[in-house]
Amino acid sequence: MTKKMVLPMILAVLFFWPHVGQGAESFRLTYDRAIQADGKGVKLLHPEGVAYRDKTFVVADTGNGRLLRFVLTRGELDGGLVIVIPQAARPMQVHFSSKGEILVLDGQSRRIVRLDAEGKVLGMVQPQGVPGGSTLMVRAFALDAEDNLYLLDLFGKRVIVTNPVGAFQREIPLPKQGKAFADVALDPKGTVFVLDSVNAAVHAAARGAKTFSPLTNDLRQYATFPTNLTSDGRGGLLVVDRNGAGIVKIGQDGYYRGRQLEMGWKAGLLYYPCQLCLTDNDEAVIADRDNNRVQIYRMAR
Amino acid sequence: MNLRLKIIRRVLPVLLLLPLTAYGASAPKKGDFKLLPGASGKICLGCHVDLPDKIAKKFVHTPVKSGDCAGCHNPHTSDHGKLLAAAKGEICSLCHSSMIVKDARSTHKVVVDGSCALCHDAHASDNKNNLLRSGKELCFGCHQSVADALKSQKFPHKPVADCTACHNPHSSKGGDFLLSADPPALCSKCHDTAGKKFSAVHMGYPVAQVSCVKCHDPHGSNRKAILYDEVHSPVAKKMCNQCHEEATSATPLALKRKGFELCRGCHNELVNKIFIAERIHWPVAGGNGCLDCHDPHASRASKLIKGSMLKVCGSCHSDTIKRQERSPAKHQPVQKGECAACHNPHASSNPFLLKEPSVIAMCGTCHEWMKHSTHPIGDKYNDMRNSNLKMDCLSCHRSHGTEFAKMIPFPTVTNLCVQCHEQLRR
Repeated sequence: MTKKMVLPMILAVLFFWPHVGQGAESFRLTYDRAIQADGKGVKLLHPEGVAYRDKTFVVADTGNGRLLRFVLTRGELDGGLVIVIPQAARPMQVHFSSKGEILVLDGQSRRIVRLDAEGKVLGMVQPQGVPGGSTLMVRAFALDAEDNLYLLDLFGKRVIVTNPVGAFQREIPLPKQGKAFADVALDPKGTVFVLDSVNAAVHAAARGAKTFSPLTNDLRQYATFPTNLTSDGRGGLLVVDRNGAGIVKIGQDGYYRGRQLEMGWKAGLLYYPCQLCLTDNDEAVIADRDNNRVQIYRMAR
Repeated sequence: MNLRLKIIRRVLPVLLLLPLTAYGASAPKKGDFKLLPGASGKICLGCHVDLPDKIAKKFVHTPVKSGDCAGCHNPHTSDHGKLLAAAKGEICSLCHSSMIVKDARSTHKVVVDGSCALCHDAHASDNKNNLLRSGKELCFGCHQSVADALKSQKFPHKPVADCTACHNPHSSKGGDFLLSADPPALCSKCHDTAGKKFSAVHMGYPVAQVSCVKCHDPHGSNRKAILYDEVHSPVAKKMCNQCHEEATSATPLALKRKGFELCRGCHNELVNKIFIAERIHWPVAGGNGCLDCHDPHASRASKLIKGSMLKVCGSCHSDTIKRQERSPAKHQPVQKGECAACHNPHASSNPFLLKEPSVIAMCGTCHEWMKHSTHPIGDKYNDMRNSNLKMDCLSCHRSHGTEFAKMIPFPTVTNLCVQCHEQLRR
C-alpha cells in the first residue's frame, strides 16, 4: 500500500464515521407496566392523552370523559384521583405547565381547560387578539419552558403562539405542502415541530422563525399514519404511528433512527396509540387508546 | 506511482464498460447482415405469405414499404419475441425517439411501457399513422368508462368524436391528462371567453381565467351546458353571490366566509350536528372545510364528492386502502369504496367515526348471521389477551383486511385462536 492510498482511506473513514454512529444509535422500548383502571377498579376506556411531571401522571380517559391523576411514590402508582369536569367532557390531549397546572384539550369543544394540580378548574384558555377572526379549531397544543402556548389551529392553517394567559404573541403558518396536521411539539431549544399525518412528515421552525421547513422526508415506509409527536428532550423526536401501532424515532437531523413496538392486544403491544410522554426516569408512557390502557416502557437510548 | 498501477487504472474501466458497449451495439443497422440483394425484405415474403395482403393497405410502415424487414427483425436469432431486434419497449424508439417530449407533464402509460402495438400496427393499416382503429374507437378500446358515459348522455361535447382534438396521444408538456394545454387556455381555442354572451351566462364573473372543468364535463353530460350531472344548487340557480363576493366587486371570486362557516349559511343543521358530535373528522374543521372532500360547483359523483369515496378517502387514508388491496379477503364496502357504509365521514360520537356505538351492532347491519351463531362476543366476555377489552368482531378481524385470509391478523386460524386458548397451543 502506498502512502498516497492511506490518506484517501483515512478521509473515507472520517466521512462515514458520523453516519455509522447515527445509524447504530440504540432506541429500544421494553414493556414495564400498565395503568388499567382507577383506584376503584373502573377500567380506562379509549384513553387518548397522557402527561407526566414530577412523579405525577395525568391520563385523559377519553371514553369515560374524565381525567385520572396518579402519583408515583417509591416506584408505585397511587390509586388515582378521578377528575371529572364538564368543560372537558372528551379530553384528548393533556400537558403539564411548569407550575404543575394541568392543561386539557377537549376534543369536542376544541378548547383548552386549565386545572390546578388537584384538578380544580382554573379557567379556559381564551386566546385573545388573534388575527383573522375568532374561529379557532385547535387540534393539538404544546407548551414551552416559559409556559407559552402553541396551538395547532387547523381552521387558520397555523400555529398560534400565546403567552401563558392566552394573549396572542405570533403565528407560524402551516406548510402548504402538508395535508393533515395532527400535532405540535417543542424541544428544549424552543424549536416548534408539526406533524403531517398523511405525508408522515415533520416540519420544524427554529425558535422565533416565521415559517416551517421540512425536517424529515416522507416517512411513510416507517409510519403509516402518525398522529402524535413528542420531543425526547435530547434533540430527537418520537412519532406515534397510530394506524401502524408503533413508535418511530427521528434524529435531530430528521433522519429515521428506529422503530419499536407493534400491533396487538397483549401487554406491551399497541392498538391505535395516541399521546406519548416521557418521564424523568427514561420511561415512555403511551396512551394505548384501543387497548383501553396506558402502557409504560423502559427506554434505552 | 509505478507504471503497472497506471496501466491497470486505465485499462480496468475500459474492460468493465466493454460488455455494455457491445450490448448497446446490438440494435441492427442496415448492412449489418451483409444480405444479398432482396434478402433484407422481399425474400421474407416467400415464407410470410400473408404479408403482401397486409401491406397492400393504405398506410404502410416506412421500413415495410422499403422492404426492409431487417430494420426491425433479426433474420437469424433474437432474444425477443417475433425475432425483433430489440425489446418491445425499445424497438420503436430506435427510430421514433421523440414520442415522449422533453419536460412532459403527462405521458400515456402505453407509450411509457413501450406497448406501441396496442394502438399501431407495425406493418400496415387502413388508418392514418398505422392506427389499429380510427378516431375515438381506438381510445375507447381501453377507456371504456368514457365510451359508456357517452352512450347515455344527453348533451355531448362535439370534439369528443376525436380525442386528439384535446389530448396528445403520446405525451404532453402542455397539461395533465395528456391535454395539449390546461383549461381554460385549451377551451378558449374554440370557445370565445371574451364575448358578452360568455360573461352573461356566467353572471358577469371573470371565470375565463378559471378552469372550465370545475363545472363542465369535457366529455359531455346529461345537463345543459355540459355541467356535471351533480350541480350545487346555487350554481344551478346562478346564485354565485351566495358564496362569492358580488361580480362587480374588486375580488369577485373571493369567498364570503372561510371553511365550514361558508357552508353553514345553508347547511346549518348539518354543521351543528357535526360540531355537537364527540369526534369530528378533522378536515371538516380545517381551513378548507367541506371543500377538502366536496366540490362547491359540480361533480360527477353524488353529494358533490370530488370523486369516488375510494379516491377521496384514499387521498388521505391511503394506508387503509392499500391494506385492503393487499388483503386476500376483501371487505365489500371497502373494496367498492363505500366508506360511508360504516363510517360517518363528518363526525360521530363513536370510535373510528363509526355509525353505530357498538362494533358488534355495526358489523351486524350486514353480517346478520353473527347475531345467532358466533364465537362468544359482547359485554359479557372479556378478551383473554387484555382484561380491559370485551370480545367483539375486531378482536379477531381487521375490518380493512390483513395480509392473511379471513381478515385475521395472523397467518392461520390456529395462530389466532391460541392467542387466547393457550392450552390448545401445540
